[in-house]
Amino acid sequence: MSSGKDFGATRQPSTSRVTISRRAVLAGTAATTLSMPWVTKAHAADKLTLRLDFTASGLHAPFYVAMQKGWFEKAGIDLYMEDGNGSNATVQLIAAGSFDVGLHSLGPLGVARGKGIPVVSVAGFVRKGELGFFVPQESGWKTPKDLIGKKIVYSVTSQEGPFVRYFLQKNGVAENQVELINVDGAARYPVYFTKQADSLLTTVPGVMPIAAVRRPSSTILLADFGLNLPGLGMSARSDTLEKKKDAIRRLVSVVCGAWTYVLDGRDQEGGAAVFAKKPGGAFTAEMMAEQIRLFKPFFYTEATKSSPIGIQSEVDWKTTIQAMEEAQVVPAGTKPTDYFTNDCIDKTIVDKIASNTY
Amino acid sequence: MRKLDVPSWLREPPSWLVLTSLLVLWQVATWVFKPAPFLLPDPISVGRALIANPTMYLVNAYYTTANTLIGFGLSVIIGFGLALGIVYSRFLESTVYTTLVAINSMPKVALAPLFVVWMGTGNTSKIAMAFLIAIFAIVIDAVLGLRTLDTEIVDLGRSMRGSPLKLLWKIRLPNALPSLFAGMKVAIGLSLVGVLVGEFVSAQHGLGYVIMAAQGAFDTPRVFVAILLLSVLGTLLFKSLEFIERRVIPWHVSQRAVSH
Repeated sequence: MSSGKDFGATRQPSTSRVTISRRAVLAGTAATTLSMPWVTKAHAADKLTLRLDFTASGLHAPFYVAMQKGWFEKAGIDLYMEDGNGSNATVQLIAAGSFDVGLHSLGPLGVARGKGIPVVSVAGFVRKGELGFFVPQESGWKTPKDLIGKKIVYSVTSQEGPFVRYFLQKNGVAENQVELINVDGAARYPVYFTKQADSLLTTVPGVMPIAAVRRPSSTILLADFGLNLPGLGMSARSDTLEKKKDAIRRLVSVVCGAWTYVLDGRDQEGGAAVFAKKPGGAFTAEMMAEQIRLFKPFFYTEATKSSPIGIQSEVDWKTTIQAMEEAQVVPAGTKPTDYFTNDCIDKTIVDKIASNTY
Repeated sequence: MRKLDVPSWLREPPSWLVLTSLLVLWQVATWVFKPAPFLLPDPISVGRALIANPTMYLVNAYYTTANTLIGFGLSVIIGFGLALGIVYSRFLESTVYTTLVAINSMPKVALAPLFVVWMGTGNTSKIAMAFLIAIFAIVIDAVLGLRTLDTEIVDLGRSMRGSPLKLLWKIRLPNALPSLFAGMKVAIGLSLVGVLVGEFVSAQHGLGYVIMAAQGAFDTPRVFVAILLLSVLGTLLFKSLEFIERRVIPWHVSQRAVSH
């Protein structure tokens, strides 16, 4: 007879009968199951690592909403997500193979890919260029030419870095007609807010909620003056994409679906979802909801106005490549399909999530 | 037993030989392991990047060097002044010294973005960063040098009616010089680091700016050129201080050992 504390099979010497406790049966079954990888594999979620562009903002809403709703789990994705410190750093980490997938501005990806770095965009969300010059609201400056004689703060390591001189020159502003001040990362914002600079070049919808409080501003969009750099999207290294295509496809589709869900008037829910997981950052839940609202018009270009969120257009990329070639940041001769793929978006998953029926 | 006849160049290899060997090893490693050029370029590509635009690197190196020397110079002058105050005044010892220790424990790199807001985006914020990072080494070593003094020599100086100023000039200062130079040799490297930190946060010129701009354009060879130039610059500054040290305190035991 086996005692209640038995954890395994116990041979009874008196009768030679083998008694097995219930716990031993359960443990044995579990051990057998674990020793059969094909059994566990059928149930285990695919592990994927994701590097974001920056610390928490409204642009991360689809990830946090998807987590809250359990959409990643349902899609069989076990996601490890890490905050970033700039799009360039994220692209470099993806290229080095430190993460499977990245969320960042696609401008730096274009520069990297043009230089032979094997990173491909797998989804484009903010497809209209959101970069612009913040100028004081009362200034009345409306075109790049209005910036002549002004101090412009920008970041040489951000997506605008390689393009700022090209853009100004293209719009009839010589380099010596403006004072360009390079300040890295988030440190550039206080320089503009404390009036040490006349203008700030950065992502318009992302920074507008803070600018509205610190220094009410209007903006001059680069896209309105001939430079449409693709905004936020997702990328993966070519070989990672080959190895983990199925899992990456499910992840990207969930995110595209979640974006569609959030942009359908659920900006408050999006902002709250990010804030619930990442309180104490630069933005309140309301600011993040505002970012989502402000970003919404940038999700569509003329070429993608009837395409689902995430789908990228060859026409848009052609324009970007032309600008990159003119700015001499990529060599001539690359083609749009070198930069992006639309194969990672499963319309069925996107539609189900968008309609909250996944 | 016969002694192994090792040639002198192998026993004490000259620095140029060590550095050349490292470069060769680096080149061979890139041929063998073939890392992606954006992760680790080979020395030949780095050399090509330098030759492509030497003037640009020289101009930027000039800005970094100038700011380093100004920050370093200020840290020596103010640091030595503070050390004198600490040695001669108990009040300053308990206030300034403690404050300096507290400041030194702060993560000074975290102050760099604030310096930009407080002092602007020009050279001042870089010089301030260099000064702040370097001054502690100067003060600590200068205080040590000024204090480490045989009391009998001081008594002898006093018995010969030496004024406090003369005692300082003739006895304390020469005695403190070896320690002061030790502190300066640490501080010159720290000043360079301070300027770089400043340039990383905000700059229009300088080797830190070159690194940031090259990273933004995914131009890794250019990053490596700037890093190599920085190490050359750091070595030159250190060696210059060693040269001055040999001229100023040839009598000190450390210099006599060098000349042997």
